[in-house]
Amino acid sequence: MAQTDLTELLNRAQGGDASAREAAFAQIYADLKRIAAAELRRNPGATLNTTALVHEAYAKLAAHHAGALASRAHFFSLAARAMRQILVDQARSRLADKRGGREAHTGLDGAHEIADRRAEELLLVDEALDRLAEHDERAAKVVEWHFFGGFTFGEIAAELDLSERTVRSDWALARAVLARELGLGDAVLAGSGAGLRNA
Amino acid sequence: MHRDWPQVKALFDACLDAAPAARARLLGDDTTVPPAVRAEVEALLAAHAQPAPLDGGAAAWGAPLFAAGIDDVDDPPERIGPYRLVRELGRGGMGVVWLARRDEQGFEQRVALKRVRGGLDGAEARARFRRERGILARLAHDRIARLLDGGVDADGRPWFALEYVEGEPIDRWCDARALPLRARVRLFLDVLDGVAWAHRNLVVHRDLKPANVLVDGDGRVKLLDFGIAKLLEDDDASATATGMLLMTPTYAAPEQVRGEAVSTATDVYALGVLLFELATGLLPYRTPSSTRQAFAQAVLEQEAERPARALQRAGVDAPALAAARGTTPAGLRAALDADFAQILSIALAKAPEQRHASVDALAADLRAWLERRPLLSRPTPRWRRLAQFVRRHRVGFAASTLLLATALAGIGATLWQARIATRNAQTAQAVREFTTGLFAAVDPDQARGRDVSLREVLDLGARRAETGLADQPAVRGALLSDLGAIYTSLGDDARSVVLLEQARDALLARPDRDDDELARAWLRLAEAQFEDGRYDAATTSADAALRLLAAHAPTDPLRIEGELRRVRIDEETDHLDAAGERVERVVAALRADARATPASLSDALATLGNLRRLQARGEEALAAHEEALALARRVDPDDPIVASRLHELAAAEAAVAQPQQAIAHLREAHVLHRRVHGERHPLTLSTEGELAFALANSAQYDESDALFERNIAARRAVFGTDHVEVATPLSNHGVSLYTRHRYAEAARSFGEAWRIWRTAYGPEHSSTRSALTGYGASLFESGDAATAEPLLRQAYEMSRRLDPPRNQESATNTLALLLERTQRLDEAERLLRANVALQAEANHGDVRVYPWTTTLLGRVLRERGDLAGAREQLERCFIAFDTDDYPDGPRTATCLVQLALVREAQHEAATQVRPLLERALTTQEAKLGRDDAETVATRALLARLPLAR
Repeated sequence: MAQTDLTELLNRAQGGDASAREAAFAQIYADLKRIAAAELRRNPGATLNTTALVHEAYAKLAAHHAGALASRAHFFSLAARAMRQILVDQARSRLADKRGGREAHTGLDGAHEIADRRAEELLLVDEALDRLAEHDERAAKVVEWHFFGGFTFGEIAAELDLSERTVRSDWALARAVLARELGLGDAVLAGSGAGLRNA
Repeated sequence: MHRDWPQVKALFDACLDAAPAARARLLGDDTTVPPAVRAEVEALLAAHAQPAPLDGGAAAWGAPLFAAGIDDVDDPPERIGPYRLVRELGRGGMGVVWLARRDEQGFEQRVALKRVRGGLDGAEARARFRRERGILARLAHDRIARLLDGGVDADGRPWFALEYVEGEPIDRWCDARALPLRARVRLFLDVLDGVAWAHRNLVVHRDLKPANVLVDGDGRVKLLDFGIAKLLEDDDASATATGMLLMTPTYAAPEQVRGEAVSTATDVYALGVLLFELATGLLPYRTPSSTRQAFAQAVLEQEAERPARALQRAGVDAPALAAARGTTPAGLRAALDADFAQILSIALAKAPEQRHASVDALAADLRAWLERRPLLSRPTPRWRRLAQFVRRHRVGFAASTLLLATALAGIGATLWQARIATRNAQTAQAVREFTTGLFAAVDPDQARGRDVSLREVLDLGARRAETGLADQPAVRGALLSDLGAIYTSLGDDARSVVLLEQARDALLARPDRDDDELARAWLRLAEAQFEDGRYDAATTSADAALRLLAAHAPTDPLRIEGELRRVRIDEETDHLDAAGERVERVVAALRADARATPASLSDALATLGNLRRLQARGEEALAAHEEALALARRVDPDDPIVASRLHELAAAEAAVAQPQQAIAHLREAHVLHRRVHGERHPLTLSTEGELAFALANSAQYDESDALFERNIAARRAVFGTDHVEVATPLSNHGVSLYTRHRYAEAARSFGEAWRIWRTAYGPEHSSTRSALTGYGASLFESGDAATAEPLLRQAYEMSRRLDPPRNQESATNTLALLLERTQRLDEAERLLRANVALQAEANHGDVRVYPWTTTLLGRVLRERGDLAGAREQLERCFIAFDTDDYPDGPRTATCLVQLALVREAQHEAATQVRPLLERALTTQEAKLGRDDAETVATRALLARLPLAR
């Protein structure tokens, strides 16, 4: 498939072109997924690193697309959203497999149970983040960029023209909201006894 | 999310970095901050304080989702190998399947091309992949979709090209056509055909499931992915990991779940699941949740449900499932009959070797079922299910449960033999219905969470056997005989006798009489009558059995059993000489016959040893028991029978007053039981209780008390608080406590044992009687003579009715004690004299066996002023106490004190008196304590001794 230059798409999207924005998103999504898949093939069972994935995608953009990027923030935004989407899609497909029953994996070490639970939690985070965005768009964006996009608080502060302290406190609040919404005290944190004892 | 978000956010922000005191100030109270806002912020601060998994980034958090790789197939390659991809057919755990085409020399080949998720690492794995692929490619059969091609693509992912089948998974195909059960089974036979062929070519499918069994528009079955699972194994070491990753748990056999070796039996199991699903639309296990873990657990631990019962699970739409099979729920349940259930239960057996030996055997059974012929496979060993059930619920089941399970195993065999013998479909059906109904009650599902005791099942079975099977006297007789034997081992002799008499009558009524079966029933009846104390009847029964067995070789095991039973009856009725002649004959015959088993000889020698013990021929008893033990050890040193032999030897040693050897052998038996059966096994607990009692008799009270307490607690936990198994150590501990004058504790122990036995066996039973004796005696010693006397008189009368002479000793002595202490010395003397005479006869004058009776008589005579008579008795028991191996106990002390008093009264020198009293005092201080009344009295006697001179 002949691809429109991603830089150009991003620049057009920056100017308000919604279809360019969609196309850019699709390209970044596919790129990230390919990078992740290749990484997993090279190194089965490896833990993916969000920051590394996104930066590799960005490096690829920088290497292959000659034109100047008007806004790095825009790429960040799309990359973070694409990562989020990849995870959500993976979770949905996993749960669909599970409901379908027939073709599902099995395992003895509980890995698949964990994956099933993680898939459900991921969808909860996704929904909770949508709800947070209705009240506090900036905090939701910080979560998306930091958690899904792997960007540092410094990077986010710089791109959004905020103080790093503000970003950090947005993150702290959003993180607390998500943790509570997930009922993490019961489920996800089950392995972290220290936190439970203090609660 | 909270309405006052800005306020929540601001307050949270402010609190975040604040010290606790400042934080409390910020959060304020209801007047400064709205309660809802404050609660929200507090909750968020609490959540904040916890480590959240979100901190590591989304990809790390989501890592489990990527464990099996990630699909990056949004833009599939145009070609894989020589194939052009046409369209996606499906995707799943294993990867993606496309319809693909290859144009070759003018004709177009359509294939199903499957690309597998995840890679094949290493040259060796790839070589192995190619090798396996070659084997599979040669697997050409109508019913098997051929593997045409395969390779590894540029990304290192393996792919296969399979014969493209335009079909539907077999379950959906059947449902769409509302195919009835029998038609489904016929179609399933085609599946078996293909699998059997592959097995003959040494290829196991490993992943049979509906998605891999397609049926095309013409109703032709095609099996997909034969051996693919194996193909994808990297190497043997990682077979489990890879295999299981790709394996569908629903159809995985227990050995696959455990990661053990896979064989053709693994496919038989998966076929069983598939057949179950085709037949019912359901899976064979009822799992509490749909998680894989739960299913894997079920595969390992649960017995497959009966198909007809599965339809009655909660939430199952039985009408829809039945409609898809062209029938009603009732019709479907009826079609899923006992034979069908049996076929499934064999195919789905947990152990591979218990399944059908081959796919052909499974097919043969299904054909037999279709044609309503008797099945070829062995009937489902229901008792094995029962045994497994018992294993799962071991705690909470009685000791007798194990006996029961063992005996039920015997029933299974009886029914099986009956089936073989008759080869009669009607009999087979009767037997099947009987067993199914009998064990249905054990089924946890049907019990609906109620704790069904095996005793209930047994009672149900016995009632059914009594009332049913009228047209099947042979089966009925054999069954009643087995059931009767179980009741004997449970100690319910009365019930056992009733059943065994019916068994005997049913077997006698048969025109084609089976003499062995009849003789066995007679022998079991003899045993039950014997245990019930009906020795004359037992003699008649045993003789009837022996007449039937007269033609058998003298060493025939059944005949030996009969002879030894007869010996025990003679022993119990004090025909010791006759018993001796008989058992000597049996031992001689066994020694002369080279084919006789060491086990039989061991049994006979143990019986001989027991007789010699009763004959007070102690050395011979020891020799016989030692040889019996050695033989049993030679057969199998770990067999529980060795522990029984150790027990018997210990009893013989105790009888010749070698308590330390007896204790040593009981310890050894205890160790053996613990090693073979574990700490809480009924046999372990039984030996432990005996050891505690032996230690108590040897005045080793500290160890004995600890062991008793442990034993009683363990028995309560294992059997339940009110079980008869708890009563025995309670009663024995009561004896030990009573001996040490700890009367209140003794009364509690005896009272509890009395209550348990009275409830279980009724008032008129020797065990109930013995606890009653102890209870009455303890009450009396506690000062309640008024309550105690009627109880002790009752116990005394009962003992005379129920017990053999040797066991009448204690009830008589306790009543005599009461009489003595309430100054009715005439009656006390009369009772004690009679008791000494009885014991002397029963024990052939060996006073070492009944020194306490002698002591008491001596004391009463002294109190009556008959010093000479008293001295005769007391010197005798002094010698007895002094020449046995037992260390001095409180009763020895009593004897010593009484003898000292008599000697003193007869003006013997202080040197003849003082040592006795000193020795008694030492013992009393050690065993009873310095402040015990008897200790104090002895000390006082010693103190005034010089003055008395």
